[in-house]
Amino acid sequence: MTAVEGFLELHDLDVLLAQAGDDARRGRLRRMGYTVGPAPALVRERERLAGKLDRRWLNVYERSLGRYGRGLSAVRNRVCLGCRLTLPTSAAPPPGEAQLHVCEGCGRLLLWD
Amino acid sequence: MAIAEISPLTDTSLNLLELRHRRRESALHQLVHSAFEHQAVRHPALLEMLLSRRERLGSTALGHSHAVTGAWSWCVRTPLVLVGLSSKGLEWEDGARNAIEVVALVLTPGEVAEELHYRRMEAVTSALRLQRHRQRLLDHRDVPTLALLLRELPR
Repeated sequence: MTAVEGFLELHDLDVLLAQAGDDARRGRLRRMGYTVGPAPALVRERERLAGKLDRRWLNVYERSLGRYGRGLSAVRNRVCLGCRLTLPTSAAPPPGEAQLHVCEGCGRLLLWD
Repeated sequence: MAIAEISPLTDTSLNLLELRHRRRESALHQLVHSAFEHQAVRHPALLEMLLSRRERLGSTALGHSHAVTGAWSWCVRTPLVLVGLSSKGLEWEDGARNAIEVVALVLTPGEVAEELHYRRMEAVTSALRLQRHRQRLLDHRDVPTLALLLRELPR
């Protein structure tokens, strides 16, 4: 598992846990006809996954999650989708390769591909 | 005066497919693989894992014969709704009495607001809620019929 895949998976898990834990989201799903229960197994999976990830990136991820509600954002056409700052060309990953990056403007963890 | 024939544009954000297998995991795999072939998805294995985990939060089967699942994820490149039809019926849940005949997968890219994903899910669940709508889809297995059913779907 690459660092990019690890953080994509962590982000997806956090979205699911938010659906299970947040009353507004759960209520909306219930109105659509779903029953969403507590997910202790997913919490354990998150802990296990977080334990495998690079501590340095994980700190940035957790900080972004706490501050902005999402741990991971992305770059499109060299622009951070979180704060709209244009990122330097020199920081771009090689074509066809995805990399993690920290936005200099907002400090979000970015997926740049 | 020349008369040009204008053919309708194909809606590339919708797709319809025939599900070959009976198990839920196989159906999800087929749907995700189809989305990957449409270049709507990166890291299909991660997306498949996300959909399996979503089932563990609570089944996505709604009512008797249909299921609607979805993902708002950075693994999704472009918005896409895939609808799978099963002639044999799918075993979606353990011990469920009814077989699932229609499965919808709603994919929304992570870069759009979560609110839009919920609105897309609501549009699909409400379109497939009525049995006569699902029957129309089972009778006319084509994208124009699907597009007509999902005309309220936010793009």
